[in-house]
Amino acid sequence: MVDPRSVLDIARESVEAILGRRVRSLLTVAGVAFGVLALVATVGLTSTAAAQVSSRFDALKATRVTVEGFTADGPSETTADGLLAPLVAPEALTRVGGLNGVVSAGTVAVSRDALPPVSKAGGRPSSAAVETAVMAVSPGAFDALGVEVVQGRALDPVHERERHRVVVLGDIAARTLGVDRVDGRSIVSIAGVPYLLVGIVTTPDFDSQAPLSAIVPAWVARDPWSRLAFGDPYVVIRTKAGAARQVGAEAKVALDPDRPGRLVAQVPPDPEQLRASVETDTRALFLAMAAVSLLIGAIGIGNTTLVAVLERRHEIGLRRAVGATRRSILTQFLCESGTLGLLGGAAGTLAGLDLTVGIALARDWTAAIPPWLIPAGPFTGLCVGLAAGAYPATKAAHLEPAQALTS
Amino acid sequence: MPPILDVRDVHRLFASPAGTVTALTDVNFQVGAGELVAIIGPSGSGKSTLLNILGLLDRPSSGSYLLRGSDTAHLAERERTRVRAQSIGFVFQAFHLVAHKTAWANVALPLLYTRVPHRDRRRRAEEQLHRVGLGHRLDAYPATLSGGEKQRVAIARATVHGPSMLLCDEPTGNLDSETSATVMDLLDRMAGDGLAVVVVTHDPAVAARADRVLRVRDGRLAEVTGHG
Repeated sequence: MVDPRSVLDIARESVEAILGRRVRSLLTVAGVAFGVLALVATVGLTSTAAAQVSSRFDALKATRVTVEGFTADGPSETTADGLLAPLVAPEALTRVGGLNGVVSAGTVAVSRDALPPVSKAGGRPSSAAVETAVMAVSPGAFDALGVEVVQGRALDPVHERERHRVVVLGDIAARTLGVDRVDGRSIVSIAGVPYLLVGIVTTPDFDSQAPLSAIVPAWVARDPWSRLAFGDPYVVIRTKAGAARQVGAEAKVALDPDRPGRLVAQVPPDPEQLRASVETDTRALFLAMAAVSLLIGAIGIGNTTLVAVLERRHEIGLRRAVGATRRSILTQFLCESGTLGLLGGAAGTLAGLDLTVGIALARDWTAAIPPWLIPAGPFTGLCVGLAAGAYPATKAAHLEPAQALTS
Repeated sequence: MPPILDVRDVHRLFASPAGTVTALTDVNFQVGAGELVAIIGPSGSGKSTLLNILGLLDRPSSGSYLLRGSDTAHLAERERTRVRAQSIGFVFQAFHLVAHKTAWANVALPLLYTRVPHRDRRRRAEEQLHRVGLGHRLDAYPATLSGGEKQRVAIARATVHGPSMLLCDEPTGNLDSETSATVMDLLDRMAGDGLAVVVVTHDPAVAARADRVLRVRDGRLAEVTGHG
């Protein structure tokens, strides 16, 4: 059992010894401080940088879920030309719409093989045909894709239900075709079949192909008279922020309760995971550098303590002669190196936090410092101090007093 | 009354690459309370080895060493440390004052290891410094003290915990004759207070102040001179 009074005494002796060698103690503390500064600044800056990444993370994509895997072996319908076309049943879409966190949902099928020729017809002069992608979408897909109407209107449930042969052009496709306004009379020819132009749309989503496409009602994909071949349909869902992963898991069941496993949900990467991966990548290198700095600090403390043991062998011999046990010598020297480490750790933490906040301010970022970092810095310093002091302290404790006094 | 220290048939051998070296052979003597005994002899004769054994900093290879009637041979390391802390005071030629401690803190050092409360330590250290005539240098650091003052601080430190024996290794070796005389006066006074004082010395003037002189030569206690 350790007497708390003797612990206090030893702590007091250690502090006296540290203060008795101010310059050397200061240099030793500085060695550890630089190591901990590097460590704290590394963690602080990578956290801050990662926070920037996640705050700039594309909010639109973070709320978009795509479910694929609708093939002809699932629910399908026989088309007029006797082929089996995979079907996303309207009631399945309704179930998805009812899921918690879903804002809108719709189906999309994209024309495949050679791009069909699309041309503006009925106007004067008639434009040349341009190979353009054709998307067959259900009304809900407009919102789910983040498509915005520039002119005219979007496709609506009536177009779908009544099988209206209408088209909406993406703004880039419209420009290519020489269409600049929607007048309710313009006809667009797709694979030789005329469609009434009802609107021009765009989307802020950089990756979307909607601006480049001619967008038709979903029924067109299953209509043999359209003379178009479409890929398998997929479902696009827009979710509330943070709900994407949950919706991704639930939508497969809602879309095909019998065989949800055949469907694949593409969910956006979790911003937390993205941040973690950014942190991991950038942090590894800097942490290695911080570890090297800390090692140098540790060698500094170890060396200083070892030199102190050699220099103070008479003092150690005297203390042993007047009644200090080996353990009290060991404790005192560990206490000294631990205190130097702790002070270095605290100083390094303060400097590291200042540096992080300073850089964040200069870059107009919000400093994101993990709370655990504040106690971790001094604690690391303490551990470095104790580890580095262990060998010299053991050496001091095992000095024979008679030899220490006469050498 | 039993002697404070009683050395019986003590031998001390050291192993060396050249074979076994005999440092002490068949040493017998006693020192009673209030006695001042000088141990003299040439360098390498075994004086320091004897002093280390008396101070429980070394063990005899054979024979026994009784301190206040108790045999010290079988004491464990921790027990020996405790006995040193309670019963023995050391004075060294090189003073061995801790540089970063003031005079009073140096004197109080042995009390640290006998669990005397901090407040009492300071009081007792100050009393002891007044006793050796250094009441005006309580807060002085060793670097600012003269040789004689340093040795008086060391004597105060050696006696602050009330030991029964004072072991002095060349206490006047670094002092001029006048200061040496002052230090010897002090040691004389300590003996007068009932301590057993053992002084290892080269200085005939110091030996002349002792109650008895033991001469060590080639590890043997060759001659005992009494001064009456």
